[in-house]
Amino acid sequence: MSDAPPKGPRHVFADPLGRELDAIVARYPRREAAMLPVLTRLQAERGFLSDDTLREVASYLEVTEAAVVGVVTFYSMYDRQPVGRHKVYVCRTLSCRLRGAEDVTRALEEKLKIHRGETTADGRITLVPFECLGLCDMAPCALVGDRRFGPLDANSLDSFLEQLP
Amino acid sequence: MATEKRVLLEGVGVRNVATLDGYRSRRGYKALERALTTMKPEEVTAEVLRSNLRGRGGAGFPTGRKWTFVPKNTGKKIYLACNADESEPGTFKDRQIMEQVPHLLVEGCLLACYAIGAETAYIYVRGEYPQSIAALEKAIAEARAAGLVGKNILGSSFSCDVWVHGGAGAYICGEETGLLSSLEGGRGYPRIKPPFPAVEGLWKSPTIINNVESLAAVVPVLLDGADAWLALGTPDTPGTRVYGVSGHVERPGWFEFETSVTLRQVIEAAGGVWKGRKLKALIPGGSSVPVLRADEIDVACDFGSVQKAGSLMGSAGLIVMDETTCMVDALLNLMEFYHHESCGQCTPCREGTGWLEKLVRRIWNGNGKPGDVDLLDSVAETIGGAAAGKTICFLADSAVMPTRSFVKKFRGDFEKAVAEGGSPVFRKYHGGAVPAGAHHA
Repeated sequence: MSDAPPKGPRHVFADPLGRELDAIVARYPRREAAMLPVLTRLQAERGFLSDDTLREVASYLEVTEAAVVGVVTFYSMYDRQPVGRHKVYVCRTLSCRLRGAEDVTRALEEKLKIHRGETTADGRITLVPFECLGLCDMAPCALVGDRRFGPLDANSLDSFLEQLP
Repeated sequence: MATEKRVLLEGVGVRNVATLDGYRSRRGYKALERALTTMKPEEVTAEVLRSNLRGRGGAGFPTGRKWTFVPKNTGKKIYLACNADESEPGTFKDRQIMEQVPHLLVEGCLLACYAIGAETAYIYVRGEYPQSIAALEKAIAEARAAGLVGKNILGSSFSCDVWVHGGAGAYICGEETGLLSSLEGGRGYPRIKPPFPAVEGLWKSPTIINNVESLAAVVPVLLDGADAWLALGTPDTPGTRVYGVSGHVERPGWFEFETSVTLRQVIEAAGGVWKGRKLKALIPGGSSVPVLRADEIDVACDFGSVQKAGSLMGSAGLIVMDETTCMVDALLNLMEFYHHESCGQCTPCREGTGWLEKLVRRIWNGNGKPGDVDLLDSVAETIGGAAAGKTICFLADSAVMPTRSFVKKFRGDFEKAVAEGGSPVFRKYHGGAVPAGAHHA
């Protein structure tokens, strides 16, 4: 295949990303231990983890493609399909539910005209109910990238969404 | 009103103790200096052992004792893995330490590494905490530049690297052997013990796994001595703990108290039950522990007292439920969680958590049959039992403890839902109609 990634871990990812990933790999006695941080970095860079990306990671970390697929399908934060510009994790677990997480999620569905799990037609927002985000003191809360929001309620959702252009 | 005792989170909110300079203003890295210049590694372990510091992840195992399990002279590298996965619903205490005093954790890691003979520490932080990851990486970079992390720390012969390792969303990675599998680059599958991680952990090398707050607490133990730590809290659980309060209280948040504080006082510190309502139920230590009734909360927040009261202090995440709470709805929420988070290796857990979710859901949505409440309890009884070898880890038991205690203590809510066409919460969201194959509202 002409578009197959070059063989050998050193040539899979072009610099400066390659250098950055090499520095991550160097923290561990075995290359494959860098699996999660490498996947996380690539998802941040590329938006989602395509089949091609998984093949590159397998080659880079010198593991089988099956091993990479196994990992990606185990963890909740990896996306194998494109998502919206803002991926909105709305917490659904007990501390948030007790304080109205369901009402907030329903109001967001209405405002965005999508169901939970879906992406707005303009590709702006993907709405994802998520298990406990550990922000129980901000319940009901949301996590978008590295930004936290909470406590949310039906009245504060417009200003919340304004921060996600 | 009980008064907070800030030891770990001293200075937080008053001045900036997140930076190296700020941390030094509270005698930061003085414990490390003292240990490296005046104590042998085994003396550090002995002091922590004498302090009776008990693991703050939730199990309460003595931290110093765990350190003594590292076998001597195996010729293998030794590792420290800090468990910063903090995924237990209702728990957010470690986040405060990592973001507000990150150097405290870095210093704790260095002290632990010195004691156990490790030269590498990995801090496994859940992926949902990007701010914690950033705060720790910044602190480690500062410490490295100041000669506190890396080669020949403070001019001694002790060298140690500390790395942050981000997770990607999986509750099971907070289970210590699941964490190791994840750190090695795989699925977060727990492993059969023995061998225990202290003997065969990361890459089959001796590995000590300690919670964030446990490692943070090592610093004051070494700084002021075990006696000062023993003077705080109760003899059962000396010291302070960081308690997180969420759910139906006026001001959800964290509070650091001596462990002699009562559950009621911690709730009062958070402004009490909200909206002037009465307390119905309290989960005292993260969602996996048995629930308590309103008349069971006048007990000290140490491991032993809460266990005597019929629950567990666990991760010290208090989830408060007021008198309007439907316990069927609350339990369904938790069973969805445990079913989703089961790693799938062991049949009793993979299938059993699914059954628990299905049974509670049908009671919740009005499809419950007479006898379902007993059936629910019986399924729970059947799938629990990691200690008896039924499953590799305690995830199934973590679903069983809330289920059995909810049914036992709030049976009326469940019977009523069976008799009256479901939970009031279900009726609120679905107007009484049962949507075909509906996912939880």
